[in-house]
Amino acid sequence: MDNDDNAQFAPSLMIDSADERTDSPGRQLRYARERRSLTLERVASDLRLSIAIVTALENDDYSGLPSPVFVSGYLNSYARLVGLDPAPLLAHYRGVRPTVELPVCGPALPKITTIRSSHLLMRLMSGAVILALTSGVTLWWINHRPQDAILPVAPQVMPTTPTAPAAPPAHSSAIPPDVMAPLPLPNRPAPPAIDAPVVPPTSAPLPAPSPPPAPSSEPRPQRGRDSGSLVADATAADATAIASAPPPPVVKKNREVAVSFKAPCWVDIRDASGRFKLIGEMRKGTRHVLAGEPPYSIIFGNATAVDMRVDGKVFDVRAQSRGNIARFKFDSTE
Amino acid sequence: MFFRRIRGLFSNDLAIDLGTANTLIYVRGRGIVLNEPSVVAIRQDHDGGRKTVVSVGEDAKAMLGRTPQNITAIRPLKDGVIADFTVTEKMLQYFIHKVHESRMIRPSPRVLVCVPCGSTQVERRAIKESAAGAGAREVYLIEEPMAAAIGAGLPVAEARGSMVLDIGGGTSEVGVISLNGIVYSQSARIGGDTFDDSIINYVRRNYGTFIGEATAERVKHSIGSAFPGSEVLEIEVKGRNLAEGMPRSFTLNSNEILEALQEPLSGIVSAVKIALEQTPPELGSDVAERGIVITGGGALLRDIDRLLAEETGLPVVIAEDPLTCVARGGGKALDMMDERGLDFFASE
Repeated sequence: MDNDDNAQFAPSLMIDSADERTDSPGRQLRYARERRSLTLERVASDLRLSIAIVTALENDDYSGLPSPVFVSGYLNSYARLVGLDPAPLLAHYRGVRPTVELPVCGPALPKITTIRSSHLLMRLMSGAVILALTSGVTLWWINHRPQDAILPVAPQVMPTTPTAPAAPPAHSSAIPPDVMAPLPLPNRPAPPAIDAPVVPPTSAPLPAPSPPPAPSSEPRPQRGRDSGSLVADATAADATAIASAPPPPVVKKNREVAVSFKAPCWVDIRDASGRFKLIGEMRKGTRHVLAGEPPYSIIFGNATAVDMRVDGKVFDVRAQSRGNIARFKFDSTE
Repeated sequence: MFFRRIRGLFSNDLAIDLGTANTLIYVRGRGIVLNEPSVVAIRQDHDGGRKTVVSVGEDAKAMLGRTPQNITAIRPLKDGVIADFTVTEKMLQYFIHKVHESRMIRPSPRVLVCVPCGSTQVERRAIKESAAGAGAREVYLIEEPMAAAIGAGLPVAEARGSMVLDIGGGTSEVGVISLNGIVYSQSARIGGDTFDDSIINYVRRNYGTFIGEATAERVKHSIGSAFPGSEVLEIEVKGRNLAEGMPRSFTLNSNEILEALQEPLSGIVSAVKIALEQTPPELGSDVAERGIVITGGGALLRDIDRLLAEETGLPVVIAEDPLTCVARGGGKALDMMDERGLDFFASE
């Protein structure tokens, strides 16, 4: 029915609307509606809008209305319903509200702006992290490697002397006459046994440096005396020998250390000065005489395959090994 | 990759509405610069069998149904998704070059592509790959109802339900959006193409005459309507009479076309009704209060808003310039992405 009305009234209304073109869209709509004797309720139900919205449209009060896309649509529908040309109304409306609010289109954004691993910033950051980690690990390795070599050695040197009772007689065999005499004095010379790595070479010609370390050495000789072991005597004997007879220590210092291999064995031997290094895998049957300055830091990868001789005497490498790897410090001057 | 980044400095970001019927490209800062049919004409060489692109867009569309044996005019998209991967890639490549034609350096833009919400992962991947193959530096996807809503100017960020119906060439998408997210979306594989097919079938059934797709589309544009109107429009068309095998001319009126379109239209109406049923009640009441917004080429079908208003009992509004809503929405999303992403992309 509406359609018939549209057809009937449209031409005349078009003329009217041309006259009223300067009017606001709301007023034009109201005139058109009143001319067609339509009630607000009727228009509202035809447009499926609430009466409040239709009233607001007629009053050009857009503040309470939804976003412009809807208002344009309502104006369009209303104009068609009452037989007006929607175009000028919409143009007028756009003039009234030229700034169409842009929706905050964050919607797609969370999905889109996720930063990817291929992003330059991410690459730089991961590069920096990898660099930091690598340098950290390298520094740690450089700092800790020598200590690793030393740390296990210090405790292991101690047991070697007691566990090898064969050695002391060998040492002392040259010195027995002096053993008894310096016995009361071991308190002082004992320390060189501990500080031996550094002190002996320099202290050899001069017995003088041996007294200063005395205070720190006190506990040790006591233990030696309490236990009454031969070790203490032996070390004491060494010390006194150094003190009393300069020539023999020279002989001891130059003890020849030779290693030969019964099977392939990975080896890392370094002397104190760092000039002599024997590193790498040794083949079966190879023999090396250690040069450079003692003490040596020694690692044998296959301890059972090693035949280590000090001045031709067998040195028990296996006593130093854990598993099949021997890692110890050896001072050939002792 | 590195060179793409360098080339990207000389390229504008694009939002592409890769539609079944038309492809629209929105260039950031310039607006919509390309609106061409998604049609590619391909020539196959006789001897080598090598395929070459003859033309793309308007020119290719003019060839639809009028090609010799060695040329085929293809619509590489069907139902909103890629049906022919290689041809789509060629088409995108052509369009991207076209919008950058003044540039000496091969463009490598960031591209946002709108995809139907009902598309599968495989289909989306195909669209992404295809855009990347066409030279895009980075490819982003956005669902069509969201792009349509943004483009239509709906207040998507508000905590209020907005319903948008996008009737495209291959699909119709219904979406309910609130707080920047899609609450409900439904994609029906009904669109402008389906309307054309329905018209072709109707004419064949009732007039015993076969008309082409282009003619059917012209009929739809001229006299197609979705609701019985006050005036009856007529158009004269020519087709091949199936009984005689001869081209014959006859007259179609808008009521006949309305009848022909009943089936696809009822499909769209039922999709909207289902969406309203599935929408949470609070959002449903927001939609009921303000109405449904129609975008896409289907919104240009006469009185489609009246049909939906009658069927749903809700106010129905047609967005301004409905054909370009999706592309404009994609463009706005692209702008926002860049604004938000400034701190991320500052190093570029």
